[in-house]
Amino acid sequence: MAYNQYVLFKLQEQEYAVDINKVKTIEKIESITRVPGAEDFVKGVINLRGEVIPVIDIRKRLSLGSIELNDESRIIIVKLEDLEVGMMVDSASEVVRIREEDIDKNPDYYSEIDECVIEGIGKIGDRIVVILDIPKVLKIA
Amino acid sequence: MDANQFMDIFLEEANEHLENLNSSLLQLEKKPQDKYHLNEIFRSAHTLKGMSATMGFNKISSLTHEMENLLDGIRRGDLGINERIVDLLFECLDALQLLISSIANTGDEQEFDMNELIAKLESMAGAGERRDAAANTCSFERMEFNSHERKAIIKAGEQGFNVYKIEVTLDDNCMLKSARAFIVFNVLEKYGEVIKSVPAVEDIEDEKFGNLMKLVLISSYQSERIRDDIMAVSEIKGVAIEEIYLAADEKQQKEGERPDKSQKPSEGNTVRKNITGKTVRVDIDRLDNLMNLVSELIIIKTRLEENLDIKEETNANEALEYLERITTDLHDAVMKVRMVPIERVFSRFPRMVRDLSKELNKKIVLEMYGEETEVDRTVIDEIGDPLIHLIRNSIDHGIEVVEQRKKLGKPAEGRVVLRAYHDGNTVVIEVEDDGRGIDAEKVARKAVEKGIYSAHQVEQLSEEQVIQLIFSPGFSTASKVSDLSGRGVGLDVVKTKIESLGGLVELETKKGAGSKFIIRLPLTLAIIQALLVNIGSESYAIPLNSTKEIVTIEACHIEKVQTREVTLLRGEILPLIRLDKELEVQKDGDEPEELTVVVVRKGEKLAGMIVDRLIGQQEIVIKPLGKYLSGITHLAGATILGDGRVSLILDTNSFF
Repeated sequence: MAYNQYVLFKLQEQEYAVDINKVKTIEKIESITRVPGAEDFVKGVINLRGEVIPVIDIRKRLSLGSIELNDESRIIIVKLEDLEVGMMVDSASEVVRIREEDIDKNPDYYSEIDECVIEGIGKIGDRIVVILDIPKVLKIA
Repeated sequence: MDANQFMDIFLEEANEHLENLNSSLLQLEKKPQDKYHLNEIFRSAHTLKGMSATMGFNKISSLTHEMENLLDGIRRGDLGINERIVDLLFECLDALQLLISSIANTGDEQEFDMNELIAKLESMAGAGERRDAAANTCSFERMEFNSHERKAIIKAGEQGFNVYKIEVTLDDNCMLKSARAFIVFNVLEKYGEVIKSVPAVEDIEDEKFGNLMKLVLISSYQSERIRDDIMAVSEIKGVAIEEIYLAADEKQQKEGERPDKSQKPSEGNTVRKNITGKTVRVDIDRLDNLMNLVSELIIIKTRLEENLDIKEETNANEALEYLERITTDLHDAVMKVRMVPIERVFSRFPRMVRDLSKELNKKIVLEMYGEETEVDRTVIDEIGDPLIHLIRNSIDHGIEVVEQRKKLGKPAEGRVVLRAYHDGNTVVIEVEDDGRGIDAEKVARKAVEKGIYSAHQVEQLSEEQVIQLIFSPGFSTASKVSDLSGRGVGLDVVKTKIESLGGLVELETKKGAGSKFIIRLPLTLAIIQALLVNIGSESYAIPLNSTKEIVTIEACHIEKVQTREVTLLRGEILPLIRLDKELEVQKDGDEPEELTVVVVRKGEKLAGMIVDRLIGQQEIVIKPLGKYLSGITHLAGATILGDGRVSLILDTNSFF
């Protein structure tokens, strides 16, 4: 049975998923340096072991308002080819397997976020997770 | 054997040979009688042939093979060098470059058709062969030495060593020629150093030779002993040994020779071991990695320094000072490794100038000075295009056509001078020509025409300011748009590029006498000295090389001219930039009465940046902001501070 692994994170009670193959690491937030002149959903840059990595505020990107940084906040570092970008999320909870047949690629699903960043809707038992299309979230595709 | 792993080496070496071909061809064109350059060309073509055949690139190998035939004809004296031959050889070089770059990009050379070129080469070489039959030349064997080898031979002589030329003939029935040759080499190495071998060691290894090997050996032993020992190797037919003397003042690069009976002359090729004896080829990524590690070390050192400021422990301070010295030395050492002579960039210009002058029907000599000036690889990669542009500009717009030059009483040949030298922490590159110079009036007229300035505005500019207008976007003075410089890419692109590298472009010009573009660039683009400042609660780095001074002004001395805030600094008007506004920094509290102003310069212009607090001067490592954040104005990159936080580096030029 074909399945994929996803990293799950929560924003306002809704769970979102990112393909684990695109995730490099998950980091705690230390300090973020604001970048003036960048797009508004770009939170800033961080020092990731000597590399300067841009971080986006996923809430802002998905128009979900914003919350203060807290101990639960995490940065999911995604890697697309040679590009590394962090996504700031409220909390990263777990890694799950979703079977391919449980993913609806053309969901007829009402979502409060912009549909074009959704790659599909996955079902795990009775949980429903929104699988994000990362290049579109980052606005590079 | 997997050819892919050799691909990089192949490409790198092929490019070196192409460069060598290029420069030798240019020399040959100037001095057709000089056999040295001809041999160099032959050698490169030959090596390319061997290399590409090994890699299975048949088009390159057949093309170089035909080139070799033609060159051989010239070497034998069957063909004289004329313009047609040189042009044809240049054409071959271009084709080779095309093939090599196609291999670099696609791994394949299939899409190009070389048959036409090969046919041309054949017919050209054939013209010589017919003459050959009639002339019945008798070929003399010469052993050519390059300067390196000559030095070694002369030095050996001075130190009392003997230099022998040894000719070893293998048995006709010898099965494993290269193995025998290898044994001979082993024997000789016991006695001294083999500094040259004809054919080259690589060819011997590949069994690409007849029965005869010629070797030059530096040894302190007697020739009889060496001969006996070589003869002891089986399947050796004969050994001839002869001592060589080279006088230090001997200009001719040949030795006394006798007619050769057995073989056609094969080209002289240095023993590889000798060239690469003291150098190592290193993948540039490894150097970059090393540089990154040194950068990390500098960061951690800075961090230690910051922490120790608080405690005053003498021992720790001493150790820290020592660490500081070592990191500085280490940094210098790594920087040196990354330094490459600017020749890398310059070497492509002679060809370009040659082609341009032919195309434009102008006579131009290119003089280059300071090719050995070393700059960081990061700089080398970036300055090629701006320089090409400036040289084209000089030739296209600067240098007049021959008749006009004669009329003006100038020498028919125009001069373009390319000069590089170090000046403190910067490298200076000058492009100078003795052409018509820049006509301020013409520039002014053009600027008005193009709508860059109104007639009224132009009138108020000084002549110098008018000339600076040629750097404005959308400006081009060429009345006739040529294929060369008038491609809509103006000098503003050059200026922007150089400035984005932290450099400056200056222009000196005299109408009728020529112009000189002066480029100043930092030696490296990786580590700089910077001034760290606070704006609100955020910290930013301002590159120290664009900082002129730091002054304190009183808020009441700020005045408004139109919409801009200015102040007077020693009687001069200084425009002010409120960094907190430009960078959208949130800040509360009233404006203090005294303001700290960092005065930065861009060329001759000054501006004052208002900051909230100075943190201090620091060595910082520039980290790129990356592709994702590219195109953000005001920022030149980021750096990591001692405490691990990221601080942004301001692009001061962008505020002007």
